[in-house]
Formats: sequence, C-alpha cells, structure tokens
Amino acid sequence: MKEYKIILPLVEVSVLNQLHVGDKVYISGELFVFRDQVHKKIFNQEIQQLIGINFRYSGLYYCAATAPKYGLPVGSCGPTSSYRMDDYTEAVLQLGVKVMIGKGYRSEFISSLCRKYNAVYLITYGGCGAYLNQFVKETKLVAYPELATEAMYKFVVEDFPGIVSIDVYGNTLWNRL
Amino acid sequence: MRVIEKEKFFSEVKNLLIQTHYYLPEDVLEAIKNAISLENNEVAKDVLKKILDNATVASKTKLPLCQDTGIPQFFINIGNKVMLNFSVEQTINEIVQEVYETEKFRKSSVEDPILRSFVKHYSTVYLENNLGDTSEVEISVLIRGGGTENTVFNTTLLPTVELKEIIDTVYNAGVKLLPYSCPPAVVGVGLGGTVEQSIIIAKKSLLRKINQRNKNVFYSEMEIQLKQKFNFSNIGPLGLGGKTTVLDVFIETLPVHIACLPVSVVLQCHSFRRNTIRI
Repeated sequence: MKEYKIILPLVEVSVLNQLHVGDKVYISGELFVFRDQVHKKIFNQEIQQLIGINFRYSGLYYCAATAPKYGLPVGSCGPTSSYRMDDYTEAVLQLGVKVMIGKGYRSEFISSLCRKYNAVYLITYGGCGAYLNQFVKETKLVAYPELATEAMYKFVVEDFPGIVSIDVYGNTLWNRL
Repeated sequence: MRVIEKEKFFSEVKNLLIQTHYYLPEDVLEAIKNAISLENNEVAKDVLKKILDNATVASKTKLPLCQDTGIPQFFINIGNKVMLNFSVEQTINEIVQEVYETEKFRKSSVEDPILRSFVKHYSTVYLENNLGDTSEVEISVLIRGGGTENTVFNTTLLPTVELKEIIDTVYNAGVKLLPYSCPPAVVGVGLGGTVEQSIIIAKKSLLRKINQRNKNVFYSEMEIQLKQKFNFSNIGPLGLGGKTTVLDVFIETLPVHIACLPVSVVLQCHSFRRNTIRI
C-alpha cells in the first residue's frame, strides 16, 4: 500500500496514472459534494443551475452531511453508498469529474468508465462521519438548494483520506480479494 | 397499577435517543477491539481503528457517529402493572422532532416516496405488551440508516427444505448485501412467523448484545456456524478484505404455517446505534 497526496481540481490528469488499487490517497483542495437527486438532474440535463460551474478535473464526494455545530464548517460527513449513482455516472464524468469518493462496491461497467474517462474511484471510511469532519475546512452551497439535505455543496478539504478502489486502468480492489 | 407520566417518559427517552447517536455501545467497541487483535490485513486493521477513532471523536465533540442519522425505530414493551396515560406514538414523534432539531441531526426522510415534497424527521414505533407482571416499560431504539435499510432480504422457502438450503439462503443473501452495508456488520436472521413478522424479528434480534446467543442450542450453533462462514468470505471491513466481515449473527424464530418458511436477513452496519432502557 503506497500513499499519495493529491490536490483537487487536478492540474495534470496524468497524476492519476500512478494510483493503483489498494493505494491510500490524501486529498487537499476542493470537492464537489452531491448524491442521488443531483445525479438524476445531471443525467436528465436539468442543469440550468450549473451554468458557469467548472467541473474540469474535479473531485466528487457522495455525501449528505449533518448540519454544522459549534462553529465547525460541517457536521458528520461520511460517504454514502456509491452504487446508487452508477447509472448516472457517465453523465457526471462527461462534465469533467475525475475522482469519485464514496463507499461500497460498484457495477462492473464503472471500471470501463474509469478507463474511458481516466478517472478513479476511492472508498473512504464509511460510517465514520464524525472522524471525517476534521478534514473538512470550509463548505459552500453551490446549487439546487431546494434539495435540502441533498443539495450540491463544495467542500474545501485537507488530507481527506481514501483508498483507491478502481484505478484508471479499470482494476477494482474487490476483484483482487 | 403504576402510572408513568408523559414528562418522565419524554425526558428518559429523549436522553436515550441523544446518547445513542454519540456513543457506540460498549459491546460493539469490545468486538471491534477484539477484531483488531485478530486481523493481519493491513487495510482491515486501519479501517477498524478508524471506527474506534470515530467513536472517540463522536463522544468528545458531540457530532453524530454517522451523518445518516436515519430513521429511529422504537421497540416498546409494556409490563402488566404499568399504565402510560398518553399516546406513546405521538410522544415518540414529539421527542424525535425535538432531539433531531436541537442536535442538528440530518433530515433524511421525505414525506412521500414518489411525490417526495418536504424533508422531515420520521420514526417508527412497535408497541408490545408481553414484558410480564412488572410495573416497568422497556424502550429500545435502533437507528436505521439508508445503507442498512437497503440491505434487507426476504424470501419464502418450502417447509420441506433441508437445513443446508436455509443456511445457504442466509449466507448467499448476506454475502451479496454485505459489501454495501458498511461492514463489519451484524446479521439479523428471522425464520418463521408470517412474512412481515420474519422481518421484524430479524430486525429485533439486533437488540441483543454481541455474543449473546440464541437460548436454543440448535440455533446458537447455527449462529456460530454462519458467523464463521461469513468471516471466511474475505469481504472484510468496508468490503476492502480481511477476516472481520461480521461481528455476530443473531437468529430469531417464530411458529410458522405448515406450508410456509419465511426467511429474512437484516444487516446492521458497524455504526451500531442501539440502546435499551427500562423505566
């Protein structure tokens, strides 16, 4: 298990070529944060609210956090199950997202999509929302406020941890177990 | 006949619900610590340690153990010598609304499955009256997140099937669903009853403490056998490989119609938020 630090959005997408399944990654920079309902909107091209937002070489975290407390930028903020986004994922990758972060296994075709779009999927610590809070430094509501809990946010993170579970070569961690 | 006033019930259950979101139960912490000492998979060890770190952070900072503050499910059993002179369901709903608002727990439910509309706090209550001749009421709460509610299996087998087929059915369902349920999980199994009862007893089995076996030796051995089988699957913590796929397997049974054999499997993630009190 090698360890890497990467900054999102990426400057050079080739940075992802060095990551292999099982490697640990610490992410700093910005992450888009959205899940089921925003995926459906992007898939259905209901994207007027996204005009002017740049997704090129960005990271995406599947999460709906609890509200902030005690002056913290966010509450508990662990990942949600990624497989529910699978059918909508190609539309999101077409926007320019390169790093997806969530929990759990995904459909076989996500490996092909990672190869096709030079993207990776990381699993982070599911069920550890309080622990993951400490890596989130700022949050901002970006779009779809009407979706409440499921609105689109941006997180500024420092050393947010993940384990490479699908790499740009289409290898999956669980097929190697 | 002892009478419990609404104020007392309200404050006790409110406290119970708050604590459940911030403190992982002792038996679960013990089981995770035990698993760390047995694991030799580096990633698995790392994940299990993070589960303990998460519990420490949650209890210290009062951030909920998991952002999916889910649907609190209450199981309430009332003794024969006690009277609750208020609507239990309505009171539970009031407690949930107050606690979830003040503690800033996530609004995780919509009003309607298709029409959706506004997001709110939703909870369920199962009332029973078989605690015996006591003046107490027992209140259990189990917080069910979306990941665990999506990893529930139910089928009906023929009443003539061999034991091996029942075990295979539970094992195959579990192995298929476990990677999506934030393992290490606890597997609740319901055998018999009517179809909806088999799911409820599988879920209620999760109120047992880790390593608390079924009183019937036949089923306690089946629990141990299934636990070992799951832990040989190499699914491991969060599905990343390792020996710790389940922390335990609990089987509950009910009488069943001679034509039927309902089998239910309910998974519970490692963020095992459950608690019981007696008032």
